[in-house]
Order: sequence, then structure tokens, then C-alpha cells
Amino acid sequence: MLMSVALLGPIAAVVGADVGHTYSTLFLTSFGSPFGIGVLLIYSIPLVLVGLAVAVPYRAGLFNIGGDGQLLMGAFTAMVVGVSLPGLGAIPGGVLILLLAGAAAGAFFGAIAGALRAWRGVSEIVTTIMLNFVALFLVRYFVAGPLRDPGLTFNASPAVDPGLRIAKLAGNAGIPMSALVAILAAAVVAWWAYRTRSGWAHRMLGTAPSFARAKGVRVEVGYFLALVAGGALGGLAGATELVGNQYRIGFGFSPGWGIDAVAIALLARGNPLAVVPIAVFFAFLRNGGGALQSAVGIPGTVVTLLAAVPVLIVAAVTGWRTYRKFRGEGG
Amino acid sequence: MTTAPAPSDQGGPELRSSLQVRDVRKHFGPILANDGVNAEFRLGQVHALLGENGAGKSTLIKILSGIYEADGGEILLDGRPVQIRSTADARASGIAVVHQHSALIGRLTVAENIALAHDGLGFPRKAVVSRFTQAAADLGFTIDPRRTVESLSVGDRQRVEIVREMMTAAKVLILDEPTATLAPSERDVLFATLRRLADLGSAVILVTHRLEEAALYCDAVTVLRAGRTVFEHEEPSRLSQADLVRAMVGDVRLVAERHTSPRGEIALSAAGVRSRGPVSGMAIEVAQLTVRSGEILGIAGVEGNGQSDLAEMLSGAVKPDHGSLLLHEREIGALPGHERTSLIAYVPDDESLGFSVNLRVWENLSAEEMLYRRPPTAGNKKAMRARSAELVERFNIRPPSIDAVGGQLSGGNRRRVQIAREFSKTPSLVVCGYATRGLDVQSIQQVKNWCRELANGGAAVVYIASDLEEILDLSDSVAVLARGRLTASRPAVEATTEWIGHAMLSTETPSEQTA
Ligand SMILES: Nc1ncnc2c1ncn2[C@@H]1O[C@H](COP(=O)(O)OP(=O)(O)OP(=O)(O)O)[C@@H](O)[C@H]1O
Ligand SMILES: [Mg+2]
Repeated sequence: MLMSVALLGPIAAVVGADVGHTYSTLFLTSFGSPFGIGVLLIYSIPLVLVGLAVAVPYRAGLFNIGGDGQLLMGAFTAMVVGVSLPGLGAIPGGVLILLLAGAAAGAFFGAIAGALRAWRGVSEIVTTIMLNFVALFLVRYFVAGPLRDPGLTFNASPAVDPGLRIAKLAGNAGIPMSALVAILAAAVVAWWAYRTRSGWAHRMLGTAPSFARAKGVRVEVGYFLALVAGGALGGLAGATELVGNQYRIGFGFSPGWGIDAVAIALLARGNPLAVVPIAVFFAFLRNGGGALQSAVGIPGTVVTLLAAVPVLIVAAVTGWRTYRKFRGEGG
Repeated sequence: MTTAPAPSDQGGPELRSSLQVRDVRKHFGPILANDGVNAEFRLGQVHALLGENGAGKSTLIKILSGIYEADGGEILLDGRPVQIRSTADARASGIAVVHQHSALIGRLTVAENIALAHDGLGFPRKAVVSRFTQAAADLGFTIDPRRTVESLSVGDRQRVEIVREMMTAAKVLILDEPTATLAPSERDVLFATLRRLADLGSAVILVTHRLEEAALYCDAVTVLRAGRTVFEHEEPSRLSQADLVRAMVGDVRLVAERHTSPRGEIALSAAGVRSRGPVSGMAIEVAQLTVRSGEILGIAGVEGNGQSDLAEMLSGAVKPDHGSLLLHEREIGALPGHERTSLIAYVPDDESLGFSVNLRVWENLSAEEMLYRRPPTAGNKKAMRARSAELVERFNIRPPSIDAVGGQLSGGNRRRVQIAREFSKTPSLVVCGYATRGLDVQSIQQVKNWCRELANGGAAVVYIASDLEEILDLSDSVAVLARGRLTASRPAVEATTEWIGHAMLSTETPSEQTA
């Protein structure tokens, strides 16, 4: 990951920008002010949660590419619940209901892919990608039509009641309290993965499926539940983003977190605790990327591309090992 | 013998066409896997490489095949130093290797695997298939090249790799424990083929734990101990097994444990079992069988006659389609996981069913524990690691550490990890499917002793093996499995080799010489 930051220098030089200025902009955008830190956190929260949504199935050897769809469905369901039950805002903790509703919706999407994978052998990669489109168009239809907020000049849903939002603290710094949801989720997932019997069964399923099956682990149920849990975390990500940051759903609700999340989970090798700093790093690049474009003139996409460097390195190393394993006998 | 031209510039009088290794060293962290290996493998000879589990045989072979790079030492081919930095280098030098652990891709067919390995992505599939079929037939193997590798038995996977390497005209052919999974008749054919290759001028290097093979079929022998060459001999046929064992382990002798336990009540009983084999797909039939507590039942038969299927059913991993299979009056296939894993000790034929190269040693040892008995909390993990350290000690496992991943263990030590986990239970039933495969001679004795101890402790033991001597030495009673059908058992004293041979034949299996 340091490599990607290091690579930025030469790129800046090639583009003709001041290298020092480039780096200072990159870092100061995120760490130069309380406000920058707030923005960094806001970018990080959905990435952590969707990263977990990918990491959990990944530990069982499955690839959840459907983070975006699960996230949209989660946000959408939470919004519908919040808007249709306005009384909820008066109840303390009512926001938790929204989070749960979001998680349930994501879980439902995960369950579709999970059932197809477990009992029909359909690749979860294919189904989760297809479900992304289902979610995208479903949500677009509703926010541009039946659920459009008539008071707006653009297509978006109504906003959730202020009583159903998670606050941003410290005045204009805007430290999002929804960060607690992400941290709590990472902690719970880590506890489950490393400290419980079912977390162990899940790990055996991912690393040694024949061994797991021979020792009585129900492999099909395991695959199913892994994707259900992943979906629930994806849904939770969406609901959290809704109540903690955007409050309403427009066309550009997710900038593609679900795909970043795949990279994050792979780099973390499925370790839920490693997901957190890696997600923050990705947020740091995205956050700095925008600023570089306006301040230095380096296209923001270049910085986003740099996020691919560690992914490529990991992919190359893994690919090389697999190759060696086939050509001879790997370690 | 060959008449390969000797390089004139460095040719001394003693120089012969050969692959030589001089003082080869390789360490993994603190472990000296190869700590000064010297050997000369001559063209035209079949050379046995012996040594107990973990002695460094596979490591040397991986160095010769370009998977590992040695820390020091020299490799000379026909007297000239060669650098082998990659598997491609090894191939270019004419070194072909059949590794101990299959490296085939399970989802692909046999033909696809073969084509891939021969860099023949553009290779016409048909030509590959016909060459493969021909080479397999020469060895007396029948393997359908259109089957996927994952549907093959462990033995067949190894056969595929042997055939694959035989298809190349290698100058040096190395086989790491190729005979562990072969039936005696197949072994004879393999050795005849190896001899032919040697006569045509190849050097053949053979790793084996069957010492009689070194004496009967090999022209030279090199013994490794703790990573070093400790013994070399040019005429192994003049050596006794005892000589070889002494070279391998020093002068330790294991005394067979007495197995005297009186027969208890009926523990295992089967009636009218008919099923499609979960592994091979062949029809499995057990008309009637009882094994008492304290009894050791040996199951003889040529491998590939439904042994893995039977073992899977006896261990409760798979329920038979028809009939009853009871352990103390309870249906084995219906036992819940936590009871099954505590009542039944099972060492399966297929390593991947009881061991993972990705999990750590202590995790492999505690896998069932963490699934059914103790969640891996910090305290429990500590206890399980402590217990793993004890098991490593008690069962003579030699891993780099209990935190090493399974893939870092030598072949024999992987098997011992499984044996340790299963034999440390207090089971009612013990099912061994080729439990001693890949173990050195001493460890085989140990495993037999442990089986006797478990029987003395009241377990019913079902011991599946291909070695008749091993079975007759250990068992109280013997049954024969042929073409998926298990004969009635009879007391070991009445189980003459004639009866066993007849039982194998009566169901039209290919005949087999008794070793
Ligand atoms: N990749 C590795 N990392 C760490 N240690 C290793 C690795 N490979 C082998 N070893 C260690 O090196 C030693 C020699 O192993 P090797 O596989 O060469 O034994 P072997 O003679 O082939 O034994 P076996 O008869 O059991 O197959 C063992 O102690 C093993 O644990
Ligand atoms: Mg070995």
C-alpha cells in the first residue's frame, strides 16, 4: 500500500505538477483539519461495512460482488421504513429499527445468491453481480417515480426524519457518530470469526472444505449462511450511510463501494480487523483524489487507480503461488 | 549402460554420466531440512533414496526439480555444475518428477491436466489422450482421461502423475513414494518399466519406505538422516532390512505390544448393507459383519475395490443407502457430529479428509474440539495449544512448530497429525484406511502398537490395509473386500493366504501375488 502512495510522486512529476505540493495536498485533505478527518471517516464507514460484507463470505471461500446491491436495498428499505413510520423518530433508539430493516433487506438479497450457490451450484459471483442490477433499477424506479420527493428538483427519495438520523458531532467538523456502527460491526464479526465455534466451522469451510465436510460441517448450510451474513452487513452499510450521512437516496447513492470492498476484503485476506485500516486507506485515496484534481490538476481517477496497486501485487503473488503449486508442489 | 560423451575438459577417470549432489543444504527458519546431502545418481541405474519421515527426501527432490533453491552445495549433471532455479530449468535439464503430494487441478479432466503440464496448450487434445492412454496401458493402469481429477481415488491421481512423467523422455526420473498407493501387481509393472527406462539410459531415483523394494529392485541406495547423507551402498541386494533400518534410525528397536484383551460385547454390527460407494461409485455390499470391543478386524484386498467407500460408511461420514450399520445398537450414519467424532476414530485414506495444508498444526489437531466441544476463546486456545504440544510429543510428530501450517510438514508427519488427533480419543470404534501410508518402518510399528493399545482399551478396530503381512500380524480376524463386497470374517489363525487369495479371486478381481 505504501507503494501506491510512493508511485504518486513520479506520476505527479510526469504530469508536470509539484511533487511536494501533490503529497501535501493528499495528506492535508484528510488529516489537515478536523473537517478533513470528518470527511475521511464519512468515506470510510460504508467501506468498512461493505468490506466486512465481502470478508465474511470470503472466509468461507465465496466471493460476494453484490455489496452495492445489498447496500442499496438496505438503504432503500431503511428509508421506506423511516418515511412510512414517522412516529418512530420520537422513540429513543428508533434508528436501530431502520438499521435492522436495512440489514434484513441485504440479508434477503444475500439469501437469494446463497441458496442458489448452496443447493443449485450457481456461481455466487454471477448471481451477486446480477442482483446489483436488480437493486439498482428497482431503487431508481422508486425514487424517480412512486417514492420521489415532490419538493425536489432532482430525482431522490424523501429524507428520513431528523429523529431517525445518527448525529455528526463537534459542530462543523462533522465527526460522524455512525462510525460507531462500523467499529462495532467489525468487532462483532472479528469476535465471531476468531472466538466462536461457528466462526471456526466457517473458517474450516473456507480453507479445507473436504476436511470440514468429513467432520460433520454442513457445507451447503454454511455457504448459504455465509452469503446471508454478508448480505446483512451490506444492507447495514446502506442503512448506516442513509441515517448517518445522506439521509435520502438519489441516483448516485453509492459511488461503487461494493467493488472497492472486494479489493479491501482481499487485501485484508478476510480478516475483519484488517478490513478497518484498509478501508480507511481506500477512503484516504478517494478523499485526496478529489482534492488533487482541483488543487494540483492531477485527475482524481489517477489516485483511485493507485488503489489498484496493492490489489495487483496481492493478485500477482497469489497467482504465482498457484502456478508454482501446479507446476511442482507448492509450499 | 550409456555411452554419453564425457566432457573432456573436466573429465577425470572417475567421472561417469550422472546427476550428482554435493553438500546440498536447505533450511526453513531454524530447521535444517537438508544439511549436507551427498549422492550420485548414475544414468542407467535405479537408485533408492531412503530415510525416516522428515529426513529431508522430499526437500532434496524439490531442490532438484527447481521448486526450492538450495542455500548451498552443488548439483552436477554429467560432471558439469548446473543451476536449477525453476521447474522450467529442471525440465530443460531433463529432470522429471512425480511428487509425493498430487499437484493436479481437481476440476480439470485428466487429459486437460496432462496437456497443461506438457506446455501443450496448443497441443492437440486427441494426441494427448492417445499418448496418455498408451503410456498408461504400458504400465497396466486403466484410467479414463476424460474423468475429472477430483473424481479419481488418491491412488489413481498418483497413477496419472506417474504416467504424465513417463510420457516425457526424461534423463533423470524422480519418483517420491510412488509405490505407497500401488497394488503389488502394479508395483511389479512399475518396477519393470523403471528398469526398462534405466536400461535405455535414464537415471531413476525412487523414494520409498518399503525397504524390500530397495533390496529387490534398486542398483544403489542412499540413506538420509536428519538432512544428511549417512549411508551409501552400491549393492543393496546384499543388505538386509535390518542393515537399512539401522542406517536410517540408528539402533532403536521397537517391541511389538502384546494384544491380549479378551473379546467384549459386540460393538460394530452390519447387516444387509448395500450402497453406492460415496467415493468410487461402485456398488458396496456388506451382508453381515460383527466386530467386538477389543477385537481387531483386518480387511484385506486389492486397493481400489471399495476400501475408501467402506471406510467412509463405517466412520459415519456417509450413510449407506440400505441396511443397518450399528455401533452399540445405534445407527452410525445418524450419530450427530459431536458424538460421532468422539466415539469414532477415523484415519481416512484421502489426506484432504482429515488434514489441511492451510491450517496450523495445532488447528489441525484441535479441529473437532473447536467444532463441537470448546469454542476457541483465548483461554481454550491456550489449553488446546498446550494439548497439541503434548500430542506432538506423544505421537512423535516432527513439525517445525505447532504454529507451522500443514503444508510445511513432511508427508509422514501430516499423516501422524491425523493419527494423533484420532488416536488420542477414547473411541468405541477405530477405522483405519491405509493409516500407515507414507510412514517409515518404525512408525508403522508404532501405529500397529497404538491400534493394539486402543483395542486393549475396549475399542473395536477395523484396519484396512493392502499389506497382507501387516494385516495378519495385527488382526484377530480377517475379512476380504473384493469388487465392493466384503466376505464374512474369520479368525486370523484360519485366514490362510490361500483363503484370502481365493476370496479375492472368487469375485473376479485381478489376482495378486502375496508379498
Ligand atoms: N516449506 C517448509 N517450511 C518449513 N519446514 C519445512 C518445509 N518443507 C519441509 N520442511 C521441514 O523439513 C524437514 C524435511 O522434510 P521433507 O518433506 O523433506 O521430509 P521427507 O524426508 O520427505 O519425509 P516423509 O517421508 O515424511 O515424506 C521436515 O522437518 C519438515 O517439517
Ligand atoms: Mg516426503
